[in-house]
Amino acid sequence: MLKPVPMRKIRVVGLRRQLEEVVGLLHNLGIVQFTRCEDARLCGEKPLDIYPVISEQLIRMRAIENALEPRPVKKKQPLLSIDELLNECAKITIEKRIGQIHDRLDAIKSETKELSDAASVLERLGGLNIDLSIAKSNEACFFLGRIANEKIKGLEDGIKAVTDRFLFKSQKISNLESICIIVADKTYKEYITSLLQKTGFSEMALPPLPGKPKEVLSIIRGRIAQLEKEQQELNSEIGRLSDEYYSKVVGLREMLEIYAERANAPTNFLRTENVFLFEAWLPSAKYQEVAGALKKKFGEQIIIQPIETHEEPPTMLHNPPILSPFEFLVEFISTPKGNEIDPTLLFALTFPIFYGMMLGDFGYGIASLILALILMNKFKNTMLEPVAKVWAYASIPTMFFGIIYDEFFGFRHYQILGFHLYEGIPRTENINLLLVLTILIGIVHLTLGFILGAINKLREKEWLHAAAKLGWIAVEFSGILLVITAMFHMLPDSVMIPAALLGIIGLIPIMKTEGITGLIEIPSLASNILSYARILAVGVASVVVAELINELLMPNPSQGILMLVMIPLYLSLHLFNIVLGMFESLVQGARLNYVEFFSKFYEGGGIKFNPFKYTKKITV
Amino acid sequence: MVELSIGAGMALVGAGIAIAGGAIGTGLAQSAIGGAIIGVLAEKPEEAGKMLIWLVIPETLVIFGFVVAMLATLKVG
Repeated sequence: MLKPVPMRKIRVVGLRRQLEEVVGLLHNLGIVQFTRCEDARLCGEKPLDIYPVISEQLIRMRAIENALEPRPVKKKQPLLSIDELLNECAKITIEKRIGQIHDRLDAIKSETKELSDAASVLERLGGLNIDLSIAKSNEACFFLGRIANEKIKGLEDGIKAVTDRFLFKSQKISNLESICIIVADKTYKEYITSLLQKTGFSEMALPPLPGKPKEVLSIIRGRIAQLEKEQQELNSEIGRLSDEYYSKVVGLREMLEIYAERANAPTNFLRTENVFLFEAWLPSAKYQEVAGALKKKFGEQIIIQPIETHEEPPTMLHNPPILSPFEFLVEFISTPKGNEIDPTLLFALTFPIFYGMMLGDFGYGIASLILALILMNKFKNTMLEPVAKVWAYASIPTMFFGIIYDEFFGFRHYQILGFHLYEGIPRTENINLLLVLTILIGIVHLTLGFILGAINKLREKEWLHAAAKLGWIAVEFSGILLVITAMFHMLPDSVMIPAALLGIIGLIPIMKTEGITGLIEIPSLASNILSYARILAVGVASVVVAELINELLMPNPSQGILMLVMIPLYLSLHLFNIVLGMFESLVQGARLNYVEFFSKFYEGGGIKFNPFKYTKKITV
Repeated sequence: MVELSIGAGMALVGAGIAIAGGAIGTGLAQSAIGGAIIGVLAEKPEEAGKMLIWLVIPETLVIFGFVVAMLATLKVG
């Protein structure tokens, strides 16, 4: 658990005529990750010949899948051979019909929209008994639009001033506006247009049908109903096609994806005329399995060699499922390198303690557990799910520390029970003790970090760097001894000289490896230790707010009707404090690990092991 | 009302200044770092984890303020 799975690199040489089978076998095993090979003496391998055909069918199946309505998919469809698969794909010929249906549905949609727009204009013209075919007349000019009610009179007078051969009809559509129609001799078109511009007339599109508004409206409504019926029929046809084909198409799509991955894998390989070569990473423990499977199938016609390399292997973390949310938090910062310590377990042990010490209230622990469970349920398979799980785990120590701190929604246990049960350690009254305790936690945590750093360096055979990590422990303890002797007089003064000597000895390997920057790092070590005081700081802030809410806003029957306001206010302020505390404790607890602890040993920057396999959801 | 000596009063004012100074310092540092981080994340959203580390580093300043304030307050108390 404390280190990633050991990896081994292999080189495989085989006959090109067996390439497809080799790739298929490795794809089924799903435990090797190809690396790109480069060698100037050899050519790069091409995708398998079948690749363009598969990829064309894959595009087809994806398009059909998208065009159909999702249906429950029949799981466990057996993986067909390529020929069978292509045959099955050829049998699916519904894309032309689906294309026609979708085109027709689009056309119906746009025609319906046009007609509905026209209908909404015509509905407003209902009271105007005028034949709209007049708009097409060659001798008359025609205007239809909206105008402010107070401008109607002026407009009509303006037209009257030049001619009395015109038709002017208006109908109020609101307190502010009317719809009006103006028909006049064509010679007055320009004059009327300029008049309309001055009145702020807003022109409306005219329905393209002849007849009076009411007649045209009924024709349009009939057409819309007809289109809706056609749309329903087409949709039910899509439904029928989906019932029949969806499950099959999804299965074929997945199989095509499997074959497409296989067909494209050789682009990482090298080749001569008859032979291919590839290199790949795999977990060391799986070497025999892979080599055995290849040898069993291809016998002496394939060569598998382990390669000694100084390249960094890809990282495959191996933690029990319960630790997976913490693994997510570690990888959020950076994936560990393949050969360094995996801090997931340590993170999972320390984080909930820090979190619990910060939130540290029994009631808040229960509330944060409930909130975390709600979030887990609501945000399944998103980034928030692992975070919610971490909250859920960490709420257990929160309740535990809540009992120790004697904090229950900001109350002491005897304030709720009415009698004294035990003597807790309330944070607001024991700041001195808890400050020392948090600093001690910091010292232990950082020392552990330095020890892990030394182990990492020893494994890399960098002896001096390993000594420097241990040197930092000496400097750390020397500093602590000096501070508690000189500042707090807790030890006799005679301790100071050996303490100083310890620090100087520790500094030797540090100066040798890090030079003068090592000296500059000493204050940052002090700041790292003091940083653990945040466990107390965040906690005290939260508990003081909780106590204030209880003191100032606690609902009480003497408040009478005001209780109706006070109860929701009181509860929502506590909820706000809980959410704030959950978030703050998460960030600060993670930070103590990321910044203070990880900086002592963790390098990160690894690349996650990504084996050549397909996650089969449907196919077996 | 508890009577405090001038020295004790000044120690408490000092505690306030310690917290305030730490908080202002953290705020100034985080505002500059935060702006730069938004720039980085616009280009490389996958760096969010590393950027978070840079963002939280100055928070230690306010913790120093807290420790100093606590020491001062406890001495008075």
